Amino acid sequence: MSFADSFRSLDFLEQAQALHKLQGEPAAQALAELTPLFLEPTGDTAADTMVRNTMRTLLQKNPDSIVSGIEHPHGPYAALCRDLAGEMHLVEAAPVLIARLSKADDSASLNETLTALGRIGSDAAIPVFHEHMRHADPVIASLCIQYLGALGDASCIQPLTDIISANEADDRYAVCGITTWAAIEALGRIGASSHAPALSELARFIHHKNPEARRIVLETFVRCGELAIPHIAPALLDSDKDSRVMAANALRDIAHKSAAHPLIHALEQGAASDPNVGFAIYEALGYTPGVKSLVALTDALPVEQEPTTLLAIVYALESLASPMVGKRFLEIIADRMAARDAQAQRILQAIIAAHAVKLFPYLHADPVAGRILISLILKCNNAETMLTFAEALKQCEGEQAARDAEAIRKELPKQESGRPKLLAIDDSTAMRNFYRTHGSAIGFDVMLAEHGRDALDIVEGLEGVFDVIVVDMNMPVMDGIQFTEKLRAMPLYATTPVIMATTESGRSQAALARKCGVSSFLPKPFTPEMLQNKLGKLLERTKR
Amino acid sequence: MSTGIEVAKPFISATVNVLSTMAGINPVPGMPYVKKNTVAQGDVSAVIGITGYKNGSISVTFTKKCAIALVKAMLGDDIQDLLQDTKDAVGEVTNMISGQARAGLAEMGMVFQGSTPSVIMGDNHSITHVTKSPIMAIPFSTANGDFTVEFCFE
Repeated sequence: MSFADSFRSLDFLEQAQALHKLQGEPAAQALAELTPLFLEPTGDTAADTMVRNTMRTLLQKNPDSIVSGIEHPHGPYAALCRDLAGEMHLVEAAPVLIARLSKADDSASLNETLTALGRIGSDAAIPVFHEHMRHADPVIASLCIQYLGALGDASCIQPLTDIISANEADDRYAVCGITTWAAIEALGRIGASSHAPALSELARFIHHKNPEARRIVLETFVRCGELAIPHIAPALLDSDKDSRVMAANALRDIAHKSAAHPLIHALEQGAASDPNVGFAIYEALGYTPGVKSLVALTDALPVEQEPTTLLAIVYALESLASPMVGKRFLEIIADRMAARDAQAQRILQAIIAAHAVKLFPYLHADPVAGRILISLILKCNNAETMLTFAEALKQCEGEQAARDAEAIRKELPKQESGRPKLLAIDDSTAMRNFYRTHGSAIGFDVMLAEHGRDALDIVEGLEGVFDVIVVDMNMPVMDGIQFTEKLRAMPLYATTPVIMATTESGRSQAALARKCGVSSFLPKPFTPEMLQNKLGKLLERTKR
Repeated sequence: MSTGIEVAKPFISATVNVLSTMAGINPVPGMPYVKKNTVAQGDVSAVIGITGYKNGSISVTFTKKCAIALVKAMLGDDIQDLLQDTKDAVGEVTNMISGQARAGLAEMGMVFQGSTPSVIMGDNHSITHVTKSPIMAIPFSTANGDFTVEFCFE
């Protein structure tokens, strides 16, 4: 009796033993004995599963059988071989699979065959992936695109660019398709592996009309790392200022010192004529350590008057802080004070706003600058800021430091439940600092969040209600419009003033924002006075 | 593609199979898209974390109408507590989809483990997928309302 026939009459335990024994035999022979059982299963799930697993093990020992088995007339057997070929990266199987594709035309096995070819990783499959990269089923199309990216195929750069472009069309930019996603990532992989032009093409989409696509482009560049920098650099000088901001943000997130040169070059070419662009560039310099960055930042420090830009510069210097930086910082302040220039005051205010605790000790040591800083801290009206600097004073030498810390703790605002509450939501740390400083200055208790989802957590966890909310339009995870929509669904917040701060100049976005419940807009950049003006007016209304 | 789009088809097939087997519902998959944010596209969701071949999470979100149709189909008239039974049904169905999809993927040599589902109910709730990667959403339509399957991998 054959193995298969006798198997059917065994009990479960005996079947397990028989299969185990079979695996001890030479693979080709064992396969021949087992195959009939696979082709005509027993009907008992447990037994058939064991048979299948044994089949897999035997085939894995016998790759030639896998390759020939792909063409077996028995569907499940052919499928098993096909999947194993993929799993084991059997290059010899690729031509067989490709031939099968041109014969059969049912979508069901198309997906599996393409997957197997993709996992094998053979260049021979490139034409096949090209053939199906525009398939009506976006899952199949995306699959092909993914594998073309993995294979580093330069010939698909143009079609991929077309796909990403198509998602910007007037009637299509609201939703990001999965083929667009796949195409962006594929361009990234092709660029990273060997074909730099792919990255230049990708840089064209740095301000893609669709926000999810933009985010994916940014993340793809970050994954490429320093390789991407030369391709992003030209966008710093783009005529569209939003593209310049996105380029600076990309360089910030890549955080590699070789980004310093293009950033500084852009500054020299006047890219920062727009304060939002200047802000983004200086912020990025804070993440690109090196002498060039330090020089650019310390050159800008004595002259930049725009409050948010100055904040970005101070923030950047704080992240690059060192004794040398501290010394230079002090030199600049002393120089401005000697010139009787309000810039010194502005810089010191920015130090407080940025919670620049690393730079602080160097400045505190100076008799004049130190006193000014302490008096600013004592007047700032914000418990968090005061406590932060009280802590920072521990790093300062001398008795004066201890006395200052004591004075600050005495001045701490009490837990006033009467103070109105402000929630400020922005993905930029420097902007959050800005809101905290200037919101506190006019009497708000300020809480901060990085994006809409964290903000909703804060709102839900709060005892009490926020009186005013300021939210940025574009943020990761959950943007300002989605946040406002969800906020308005809460009865407690049906009429709370929601101010949307934004650099985006799209009119369509403003209409959508209003529809979702935004009360008013505050175009960036704004001065502390503009912010306080707006908040002050709303404060008056809530008091009534 | 950080989704590893090769896992999409088994999840779509499992969704269609499980719903037609367990509830006699025949869902039609729509055009997949990249999800904008964490807001759930419905009223009740189940989320499952998966690890192994890739790490990430999947979720299924039902509109109220569709969830109720599901519960009725699975329990008939034997509904004791609609809220609790809906949570159970949604969790159970998602678990089955996860299990069946993972079984299919394991046969292809892509092995995943799945957690037990967490069920979230409530108008306007949000789903927090484990990673910050883009989320793929696949909408499905049925005779009794819509539901969405989402996944997100590192």
